[in-house]
Order: sequence, then C-alpha cells, then structure tokens
Amino acid sequence: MIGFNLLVAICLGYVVLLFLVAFWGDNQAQAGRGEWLRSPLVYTLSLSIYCTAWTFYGAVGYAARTGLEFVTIYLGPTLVLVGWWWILRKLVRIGRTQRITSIADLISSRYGKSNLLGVIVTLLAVVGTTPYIALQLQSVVLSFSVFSQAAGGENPQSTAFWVAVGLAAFTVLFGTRNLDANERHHGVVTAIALEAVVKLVALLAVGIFVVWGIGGGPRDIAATIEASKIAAWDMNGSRWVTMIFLSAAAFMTLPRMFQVLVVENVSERQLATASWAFPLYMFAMSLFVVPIAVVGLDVLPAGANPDLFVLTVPLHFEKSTLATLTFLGGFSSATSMVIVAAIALSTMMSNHVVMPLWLSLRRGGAAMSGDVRQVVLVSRRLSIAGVLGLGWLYYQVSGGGEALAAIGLIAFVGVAQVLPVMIGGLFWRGATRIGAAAGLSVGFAIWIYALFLPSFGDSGIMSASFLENGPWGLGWLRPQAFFGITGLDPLVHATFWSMVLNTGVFVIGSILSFPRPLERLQGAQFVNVFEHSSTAQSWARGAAEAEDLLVMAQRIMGASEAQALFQAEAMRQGKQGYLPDTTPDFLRALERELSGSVGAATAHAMVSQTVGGASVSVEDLMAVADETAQILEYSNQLEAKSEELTRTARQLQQANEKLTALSIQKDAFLGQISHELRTPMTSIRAFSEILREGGMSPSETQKYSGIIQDEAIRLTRLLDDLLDLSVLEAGQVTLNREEVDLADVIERAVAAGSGRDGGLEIQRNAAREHARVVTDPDRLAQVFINLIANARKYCDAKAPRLTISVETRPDRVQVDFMDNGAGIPPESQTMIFEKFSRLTDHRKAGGAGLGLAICREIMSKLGGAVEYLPGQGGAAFRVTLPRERGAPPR
Amino acid sequence: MSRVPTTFLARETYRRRRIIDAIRVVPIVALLLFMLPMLGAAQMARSTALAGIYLFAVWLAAILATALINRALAGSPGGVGADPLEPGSTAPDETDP
Repeated sequence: MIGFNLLVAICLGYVVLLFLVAFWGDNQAQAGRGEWLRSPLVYTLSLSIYCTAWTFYGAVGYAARTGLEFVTIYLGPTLVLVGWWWILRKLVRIGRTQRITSIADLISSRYGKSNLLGVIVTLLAVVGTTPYIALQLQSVVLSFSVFSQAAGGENPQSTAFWVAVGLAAFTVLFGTRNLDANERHHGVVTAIALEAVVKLVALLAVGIFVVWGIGGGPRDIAATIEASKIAAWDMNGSRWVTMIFLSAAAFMTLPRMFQVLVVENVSERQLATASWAFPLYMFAMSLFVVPIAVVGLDVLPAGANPDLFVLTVPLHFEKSTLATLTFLGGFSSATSMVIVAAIALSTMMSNHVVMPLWLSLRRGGAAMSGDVRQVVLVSRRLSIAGVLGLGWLYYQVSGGGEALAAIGLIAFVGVAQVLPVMIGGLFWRGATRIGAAAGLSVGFAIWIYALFLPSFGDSGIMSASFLENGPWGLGWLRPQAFFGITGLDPLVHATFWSMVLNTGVFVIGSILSFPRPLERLQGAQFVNVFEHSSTAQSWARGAAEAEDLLVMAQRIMGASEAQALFQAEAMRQGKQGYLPDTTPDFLRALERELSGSVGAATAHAMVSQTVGGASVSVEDLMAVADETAQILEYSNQLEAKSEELTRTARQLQQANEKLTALSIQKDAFLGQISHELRTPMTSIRAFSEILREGGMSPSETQKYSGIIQDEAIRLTRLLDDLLDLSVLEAGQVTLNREEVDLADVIERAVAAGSGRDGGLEIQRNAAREHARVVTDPDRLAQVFINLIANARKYCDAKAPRLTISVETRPDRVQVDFMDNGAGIPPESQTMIFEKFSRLTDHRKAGGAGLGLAICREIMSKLGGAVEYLPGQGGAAFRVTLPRERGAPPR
Repeated sequence: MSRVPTTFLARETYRRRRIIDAIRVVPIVALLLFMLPMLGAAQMARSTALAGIYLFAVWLAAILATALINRALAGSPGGVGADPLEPGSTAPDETDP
C-alpha cells in the first residue's frame, strides 16, 4: 500500500508538472510556435472537461446503482456533436463573427446587447456551478481519504481548502494573462489537454486490468455482469429520455463547455474533427465502466462506496501504481473542470456585473482617466477567487454528504434553462428580449423551487410536510408534483415543467412584445449569419471625435494595439496618421474589437458614451427587412463601389487641401523669408551707419558691434537651416551610417538640450533605451535635440515635463517624446511639419519654424519617420527607426 | 465521378448537398436507435450485457459514420463548413490573428 505522504508528494509533483506544462504552452504560443495548439486534436482534448470527477468516479457508482443509465450522460453530447451541422456549426460561427466571450454574452448580444439578460444568465451560471465546484473538491478529498485510511490523521477540510487555493492560483496565473477573453488561453489549454490524456489512460488502464487481469476476458465479464445485481436494473423510459436531453443541453449551455466549445474555437475544421473524435473519447471513457462496477460489487465488501470503485478495486488487489494513476486521473478531472469553470464564470461576472457597475459609477464616461484594463483584470482575478471561495464554502456548509453527489444532474437542469432562449435566438428572428427575460426567470424559479431547494433534504430549507402538502396547503403547488401529477421522478418532473413553462413563456412573451431596433438588427445578424456575414451597423455617423475614441480604446486594449488599429483604419480610408474618420463602419469594427475584451453590452455602452447615443439608420432597418439575396448582393456591390469612390474622393480632397495649403505657404514662405532676412538686416544697417559716423565711446562701439555680430549670427543660422533643408530635400546629403546604441544618442541629445534654463524636467527609462540601430548618430541626435528644444519652448504646463520612452519592436524602434502641455489642436496637426509653420507667432520661439521640417526630412532619409501622436494628453511626437540589418535604403 | 458527359448540371454542388443531408440524418437515426431499448423494457427479460453491447455498437457506428462523412465534407474549396445554398457560409476560418 502506498503511503499517504508519498501520495501527497506525487500529487504535488503532478501539480508542478502542470504548472511547467502551462508555462511551456504559453511560451510556445508567445514565440509563435503555437500552431499545434490550434489543431483539432487539442481542441478535442480540451472538450474533455465535460468529463469531470463526477463522471470519472461517479459513472462507476452510477452504473452500480442503475445499470446502463450512466451512458445517457455521454449519449446526449454524442448526439449534439454528431449533429454538429444542425446547431454547433451556427453557434461557433456566431461566436467567431460576433466575438462572443461567454454564454451570458451570447444571450445578451443576441437580444440587443441587453445587460439585464447578461446578469440573469450570469446569476444562473453562478448558482448552477458553485455546487458543482464543491462536488469536485469533495471528490479530491474523498480520493485522498481512501489512501489515508491506513495512514490516518489528515484533515479533509484543510485538504479541500488548499486544493481550492492552489486552483485559484493556477487559474489567476494562466487564465488572466491577456485581457482579450476571445484569445485562447494557451497555457491552460495545454495543461488541460495533458490532463485529458491522463484521465483517459487511467480509466482505460483500470478497465484493462479488470477485464483481462482479474476476469478472464470479455466473455467471462459478460457472464459476471449477468450474474451481478446490475442485471436486475430497470430501464426507466422517462428518465432515459430526460437524461439524454439534459446532457445534450448541458453540453452546450454549461459555462465551461461554452468556453471551450465556442469561445476558444478558431475554425470549423476543429469542430468537424471533434464531431467524431470527442464521441470516441467518451466512448473509450465509458467502455469499461460496467465491468469495473460488477467486479467492484463482486470482490469488495457490501458496504463499500461504489463511487470509489475506480480507486478501491486496484487497491484491493494491491496494485498501488495503478491506484496512483487512477488517483491522478480523478485529480485531473476535478482540477481541469474547476479551472475552466472559474475562467468562464469570472469573465461573465466581470463583463456583466462589475464593468456595468463601474461604468455607471463613473458618469463621466469611458474616456475619463483610469486604466480600464487594470480594472477588468483585477475584477476577473477577484471573481476567480470568489467563485472558488463560494465552491469551498458550499462544500463546508453542505458537509460533503451524499446530497452533494446528486448535484451534478441538478446543475445540468439549472444551466439547461438557457437552452430555449439560446436555440430560439439562433433560429427565430421573432424572439425578443422581454420574452427571453421572462422565460429565463420562470425556468430559473421553477428549477430553484422544484429541484434545487428540495435537494437539501427535509433538514434543509423545505420541510417534509412542505414537500408533502405544498405551500399553505395548496396541493397543486407541491414542489415535486405540480398540478397533482404524482409518481414522476423528481428530476424528470422538474425538467419537464421547467422546460415546458420556460419555453412557453419565452414564446408567448416574444410574440406579445415588440423588439427595439437594435434587437431586430442583432436578431437578423444571428439568425442569418450564413446569408450575410457582415455585422450590424448600429452607428450613424456620430459626432464622435476620433481622438476621444482613441483615448478610450487605449485604456481598454493597450496603447500599441489601439494605435495599430486606428492607424490601419486611417490607412484603409486613405488617410495618414492615427485619426481615421469616425464612419459607422469604423465604429462597428471598434465596438467588436472592444467586445472581445469586455463583452458586447459593455463595449456598446462605452462606445455610445463617447459617441453620444446609438442610432439605427433607415438603411440598416431596410437591410433587415430585405430578405432577397439578390438585392443584398446587388446593394453589396453598389456599396463596394461607392466605398471605393468615397475613398478616392477622400484622398483627392486631402491632396487638394494640402495643395491649397502649400500654395498659401509658398507665398507665406517668400513673405516670411524676406521678413526674417530683413529684420536683422535693418538693425545691422542702422548700427553700422552709427558706427561709421564715429564719435562714440569705446564701450558704445563695443555694444553696437556686438549687436551687429549677434544679428549676423542669427542671419547665418537662418541661412544654414535653409541650406540644410534644401540639401536634405534635394537628396544630396551624405549620411554616415554606423551601428550605435540608441541610449547613447538620446543621452547626447538630452545633454546638449539641457543646462540652458533647466525648467524642463525630463523623464526617461534608461533600461529600455538600449537598442542597436544602424543610423547616422549625428543626424538622429539633431532630431532629438530639436524635439527636446520644442518641448522646452512650447510646453505651457506649470511644471513642464517631457517623457522619453523607447519601445523596441521586431522590425522597428519607436521613440516617443511626450510633454504635459496643452498639445497641438487637431486642425494644426497636419501642418506643423511644414516650413515656417509656427503655431504661436511670438518671437520668443527664436527660430524660423524650420525645425520640424528638417526633422521630417532627416528621418525620411534615415528610412524612418517622425509623426505627431494624438491622444496622449500633451504634445507627443513619435520617431520611428527601422531595425533591419541589411543595406539601408539610400 | 463519371467521365461520360451528361446533362446533369452542377454535379459537384448536388453531391455536396447530399453529403450535408447525410450528416444531418446521422443524429436522428442515432437518437432513434438509442431509444429503441425502451420499447421492450417492461415485458422482455433482457440481458444487460447484450443491451450494453447493442448501445455501444450503435454508438461506435454513429462515430464511424460521422468521421467518414466529415472526410467527404472536408474536400470542399469553401472549407468543411460551407453549404452551397448559403452565400455567407464560406467565410474564412482562423479569424483569430
């Protein structure tokens, strides 16, 4: 017999292995070698979280009590997967096109991004999943106690507690790495795939041992089955059908199953393979269940717990290695379920409960200060801890008795309440938010009343007489015999009435109510996902400032991702820079991108706070009403053409604006240059005339010739600048390229630019500045000095501060210069790089307005760019340098 | 299939539609067969071992049928999930960057 301490050591070793595997999986994905993580095989294995500890241990116990009925738990999912063309194909496609983050998000998004529905489904999921998590903790504790019976002295409560803490740590570490819930959790998926293999191998090993090791092969086992008490099982037709239905429903609606089945799905290829491979997995998992059960009944004493036969049969025959493997299999089943359930629930809680609350508390809008990313991540982490804490608490309170074992099926009935609303939403355009909310509430209430509360037994909330006579003696309201129909199995009774009334109220409510425009739009998008694969245009051309949107998007998606998105969109529209026009198309794309992080309802609320109210245009509604594919096709073509025209027109308009501005600038240039030359010339002439007249004291002579010299220097500097610029523009400049450390160049520029009046504080992060670039260091330093000098001159903050930050990308290096002043107004942002453009015309600036023009020329000669970066709270310039090692472009 | 020129139009599309019909039928047949044991439950003295073998055989047959039909489906240029009747169903897979 294996010692208890050794078992704990093996278990901890296994946990360490899981952590390492998860780390490895994350690193593989980060290094871009994660292609296999998206393979259909890994997807299939991740579905195995359907087989929890309840099925790993419980299936044998189930078979020992009610014979073959246990297979119904697997037959339902088999039917759903084998029939993937009916429902799953559509579900998965919608999940991908709408960037659905959870089952609550799916329901909320389908019914007009309603947060009410999101909250109801989240509540249902939490109530249904908490006991389920308690069940997993119980199974780990029970399996430990089997081993510790010999050793003794271990405390089951503390085991459960530490298992819960460990699982919370794992889930927080690997489940909340990235904010985008739509992204795959590579580390978690890798660990779960490993656990899937472990539990399958463990169960198969016990089965093979039982059939060929103890029994004399399949024929003998068949005889043992006929002789055992299992042969006397009675097939209950209503339970048989109900269980197939329930397991099929739960396979799609359990939050954790929805997470791996829909949210983490990336292609239909995965689904097509899983449609036969996962039924095969379940087939293998259940093949040896009955043999293990009959052998257990045969060899073990009469009082033995059949739920633990998988462990106790190998132990009975002194096969401690096999028993340890089984233990790890059960442990894997429990932990993988809890991890994914916690991820799924925490996403739902943070997106549908915490974020809406947070948004409504900050009336100022999403664009206000505060890092939303941090809020979301913290709320997810707290939710994970909360979910596991609730599970542990439930286990503590319920005492981990027999009642808990029945909770698996009870949870199935609970989550199945989402099914009518989900299926209705996928296939029926007429399903409305009001109908869905009413149906869900009725189903939820009946489930609580007829199944969940009675499951605590008569010692619990409902007394025996209450169950017997109904509330206030109303017989037709008896929790387990509605309308006086007695004799039904409680599970069948609750399933039947909750589903019938839920569906009925949902359908009637939908027929009687009238949907809002956004609901109709979303309904058409969902039901006709295969007809037109674009998403709803729910934004009219708003008065939204692109810059406000950028500020908000940066807070949710992170600065670089948001900037990349905005830049790509601007480029698509034929514009330069970071600020695209806020077209309805762009707003829709942005909202979809955000909903991948915070859910559809929250993303919609955030965008509408910035844009100032959503509106559905007449065209949108006409597109919904339009059923004919030809008309749609035709209008799509027209739309594509008009889009192209719009783009060309926009480019032309931009070019025209620029030409006009350039022409004005040219006149201004001549005027400016004569002015700039004339002022010093005038004073030189005046003072030289005075000097020629003579008759002055030496000090006066000194003073006047000093003035003449200063003015001459200014003149020379101006001419130098002009010359520099014309040489650069004509491309005659020679660059002395060498490989340098960027930090040295910045250091040089800061040193050269400081020390004159010291009013400007410069913030740097020296550690991140080290990057090897091939460039002309003198010219680059000239650009940096110019940007620093600009900040010194124009930053109007009380305590001016310049932040220099360097970011190294695979193909380029970005150096951002951001000050805390008022920034540059949007209408001037395109002009500042032109010659003689000075925003403030006071002479304290002391230059001719050529600095930024020179910077731009230098950077384009160096193969990089300098641009204005909007939305950073002050004036910000981004210098981009290429990093390629090969020959630089001349 | 046949190399003889025929007047049959859009043979490929027709074939694919029928394969899709086949994949839709599999779960219905499987459900019927799974519920079959209920018919004689009360009267017949059944053998549990035989009932088990029957269920597992149906199960395996459904799995094999699905695997084979999916192989036939995977050959389509529009991807495994494409349906000729649905203009939007050939949307690209792997939407995740």
